[in-house]
Amino acid sequence: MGIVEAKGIAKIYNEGKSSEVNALCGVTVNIEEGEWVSIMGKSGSGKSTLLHIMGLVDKYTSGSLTFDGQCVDNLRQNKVADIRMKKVGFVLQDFGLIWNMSVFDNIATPLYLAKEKKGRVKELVSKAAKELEIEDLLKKKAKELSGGQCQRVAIARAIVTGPKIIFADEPTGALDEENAKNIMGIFAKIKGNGTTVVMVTHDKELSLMADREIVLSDGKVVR
Amino acid sequence: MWIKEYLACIKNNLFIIVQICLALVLINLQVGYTTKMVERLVGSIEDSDKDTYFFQYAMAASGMWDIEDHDYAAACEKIKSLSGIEDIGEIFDVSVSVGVESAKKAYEDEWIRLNVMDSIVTAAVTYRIEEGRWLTEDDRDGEEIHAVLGGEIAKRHKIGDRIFVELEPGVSYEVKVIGILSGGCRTIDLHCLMASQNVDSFMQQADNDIFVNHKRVFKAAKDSGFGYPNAHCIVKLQKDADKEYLSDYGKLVSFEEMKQETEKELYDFTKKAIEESIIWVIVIIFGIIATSYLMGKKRRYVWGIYLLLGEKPGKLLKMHMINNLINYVTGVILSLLIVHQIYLRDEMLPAGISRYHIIVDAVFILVMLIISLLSNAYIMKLEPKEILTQTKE
Repeated sequence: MGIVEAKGIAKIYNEGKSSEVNALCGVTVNIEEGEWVSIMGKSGSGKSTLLHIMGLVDKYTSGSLTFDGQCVDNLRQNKVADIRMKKVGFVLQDFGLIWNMSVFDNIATPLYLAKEKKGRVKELVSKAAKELEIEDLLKKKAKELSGGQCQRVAIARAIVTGPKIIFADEPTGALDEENAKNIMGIFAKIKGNGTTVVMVTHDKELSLMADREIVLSDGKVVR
Repeated sequence: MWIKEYLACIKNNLFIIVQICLALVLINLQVGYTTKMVERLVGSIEDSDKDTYFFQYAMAASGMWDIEDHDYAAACEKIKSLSGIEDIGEIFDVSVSVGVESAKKAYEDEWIRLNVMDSIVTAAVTYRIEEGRWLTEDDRDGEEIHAVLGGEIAKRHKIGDRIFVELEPGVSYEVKVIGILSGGCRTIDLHCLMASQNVDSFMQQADNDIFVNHKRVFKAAKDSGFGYPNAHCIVKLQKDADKEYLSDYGKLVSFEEMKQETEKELYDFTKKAIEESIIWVIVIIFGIIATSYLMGKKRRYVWGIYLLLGEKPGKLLKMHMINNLINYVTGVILSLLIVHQIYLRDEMLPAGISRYHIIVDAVFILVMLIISLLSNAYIMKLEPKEILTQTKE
């Protein structure tokens, strides 16, 4: 059984209006536990929409979604938020950091929200920072970092709670080639630790580093 | 987490605190002024005799124009002869020397007024008493002379104290304190002119007053010829008295009417004060909503991150409401401290923060919290995907 099973997922924006858009048309995908999957496609193909739906941050118009063995079709928002907090990590293209906060606090934010104890927060943040080799940045403000450093901090925040799966939306989109490759190396390491990684990218070369590719076109899986 | 969130918006929060503080200083000053008026005017009278009236006699109309100036006894006789008047109440006020061990060891350089009353005046109005009791008919006779103190002298003595009062050289009385008037209590003043029908026109602040109704002291005061009133007197009417007829001879006002008139004036004053305060509250509400909106707009990106990381919208709203509560409570405390300092600098203002300030400020916090809840209800509708479509904060 996969960690994410999407069956016939459709997403229609502005339904019933003249501006109606069919972003996804009956997409069925299965993400196995421990797998590294990349979602490829042109701009507007629906790849980010699919990632958001699988990451439980967006709703779908029809179809069925099972997350870690639990059907989430009719789950209340609070329950979905619980799943996100405990089992999901996100990495965004523009990092999604809180710029006036320190790197430590940025990484610790999910732990603060989960009301972890101070000692435990320190321990987990140190562990994640060590893994991402950003221990020396912990006291800096997020706004003082370079793009590559920001993405490392964002990844550290995504893994700090020990999630089962990480969704990365164009994680290298704002980085140069060297930093992009470094980040992919980090994902490989995370995958090696047994965490599932689902990544949206439009870079063919980076996509090939994943175990498997899902290619979307016009809201449909073509490969 | 809410502390971090609060500190992240510290400038906006301080701005909100300043707005609340300024508005509440004005509102609290209004509250203080109004409550002081209420306590001073309406609160002076605990009870009154329904048949006893103030009577401002019109000399010419009552045929008293031929009475010599200050011939109080002749004027009383004339008034008593009017149909419907049962009797005239007499009160004499005398400047006296007062001492603890003897009247000779007097409070230096102090003007102390002894008010000596008959039965009618004693029963006409029962003043608001802080401690002990007001004088009764039983206090007119007996071995001991009982007294009630008001104003400054009341602060120096307690119930059971004995003090010496010197009416005139060589004539002094030992009196026992049986009652203390409440601070700010107003008492009958027969010297004032009736500008209007309210308590302020008929009564004066008890500054340094001793009230006695013992027959012995009354006779001495009357015989001495001290303190005859010259503007109006207190009359007790017969049950079937024709007030319209008596009105032809002067202005007749009962204590009850006086109290009602004062209450009406205070009601109008309070209404105006509330209206002015409401304007301030509305201004502050708009100010806070605008600041909250700007703060919300600025924080939306961060809230989006929190939601993405698994925070529930309800908890986000709770965090925001705690921040608001901190602002409101801080604003209220600061405003009360400022108002208290203002009160300390002006003796005409209330002595301190009263329960009315606390009630008004508590209602203010409650109203502001409800408005905050309504104006921030949109937080419950925020979705984590918003962060995915937003740019950096």
